Amino acid sequence: MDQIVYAFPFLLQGLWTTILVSAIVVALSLVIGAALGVGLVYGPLPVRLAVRILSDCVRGIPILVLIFMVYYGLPPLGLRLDPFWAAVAALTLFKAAQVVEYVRGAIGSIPRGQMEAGKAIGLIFSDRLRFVIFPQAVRRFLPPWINGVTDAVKGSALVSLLGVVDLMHAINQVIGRTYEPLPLYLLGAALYFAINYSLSSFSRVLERRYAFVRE
Amino acid sequence: MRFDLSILWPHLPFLWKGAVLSAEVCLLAIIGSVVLGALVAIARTSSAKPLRWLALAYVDLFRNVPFLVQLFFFYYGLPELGIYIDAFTTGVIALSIAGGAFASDAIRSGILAIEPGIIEAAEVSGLSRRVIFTRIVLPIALRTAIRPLGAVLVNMILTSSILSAITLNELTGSGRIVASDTFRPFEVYAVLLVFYAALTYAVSIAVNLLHVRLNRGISQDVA
Repeated sequence: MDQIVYAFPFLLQGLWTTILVSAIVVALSLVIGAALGVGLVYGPLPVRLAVRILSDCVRGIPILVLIFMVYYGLPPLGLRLDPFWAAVAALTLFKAAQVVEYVRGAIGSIPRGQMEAGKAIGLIFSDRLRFVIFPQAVRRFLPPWINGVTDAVKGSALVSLLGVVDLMHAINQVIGRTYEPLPLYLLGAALYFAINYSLSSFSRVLERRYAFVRE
Repeated sequence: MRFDLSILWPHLPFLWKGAVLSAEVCLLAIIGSVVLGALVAIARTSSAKPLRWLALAYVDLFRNVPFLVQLFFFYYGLPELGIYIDAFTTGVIALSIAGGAFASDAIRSGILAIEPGIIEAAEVSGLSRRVIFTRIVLPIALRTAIRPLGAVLVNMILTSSILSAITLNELTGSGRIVASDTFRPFEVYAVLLVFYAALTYAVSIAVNLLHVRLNRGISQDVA
């Protein structure tokens, strides 16, 4: 027990890396996924097709294999990323594919009439998105998206397999010294649980708040 | 450098063995998940509060903790208590428990979607509670839940790649070995990506067909 207290600052550092990885992944995937999602709904056929195929393929691939692909597979092609960024790139790709689906679902739930009404009063496309579609769609988008952030946090534990010292790796290193796996894994589980449970509870609260949005 | 798949020819039987191991693990684990998920779904819809609470705690716990942490807990943590389980069994157990949390949600919503009239009719006919549940509620619930359960299976196939972290050489684990033997990681992982994508795609098509077959004769908005 003393050893765990002693190791705590080290574990906190790992936790910080976990949060950093998750935050970068969430931010990047939001931007990329939203752009692709809009492309999937409103783009011309080739764009729609490309996004559809990309999203379907990525969602059918294990994150771990994706991470290995980026880290071990790309250097022979001349693209050498350090473990941290390789993992972030792979997780971002995976998460962006999810965001695409949330965006599609959210925009798809807005009645067509809204877009047509926007056209009728002479708004250009970007204004129609900005003032008509997005403000309504965001209420449908937020609850599942925040719930999906837990996937990024859970997925970030896989960066430990590339040797990045995140919470998971920090725990394993402490275990390597103390030979007390049980309490440390329980501690790790508790930390991850605290983060993810608050996220999914927040998502549930939002969902209830936005439940009034019905056709 | 050139993209050359022929370099993998001699390693195909080895990769195939890994794929078979993945399939075995997933098959056993999906059975475990559905059984566990059904039990937990029963607990969550039961009238006993402690039982409901316990089931909810299980679902929330295993949905919110990374699978890698759960896996290491079972594989490296339990020996501290004197419980030694080999990698294959650990993998099946861990996947079943994690998948059970997701499966229980699918089955629970299937149970909740059943029209109360059906159950009332069964009660009026004098069937015992156990018979009502096993012969009426569960078959209907599983039938409506087949699609979400398919999603659980797809997720399980994807998650099973993480078992390579506990020295179980399933498909991903075999792939890592081949990659380090041949020094051709790009080809190896490209093949794995295609294989997993094709496999999960095929599974989701099969699940859709099964869904249509099991729900034939039911109007679309119900099924």
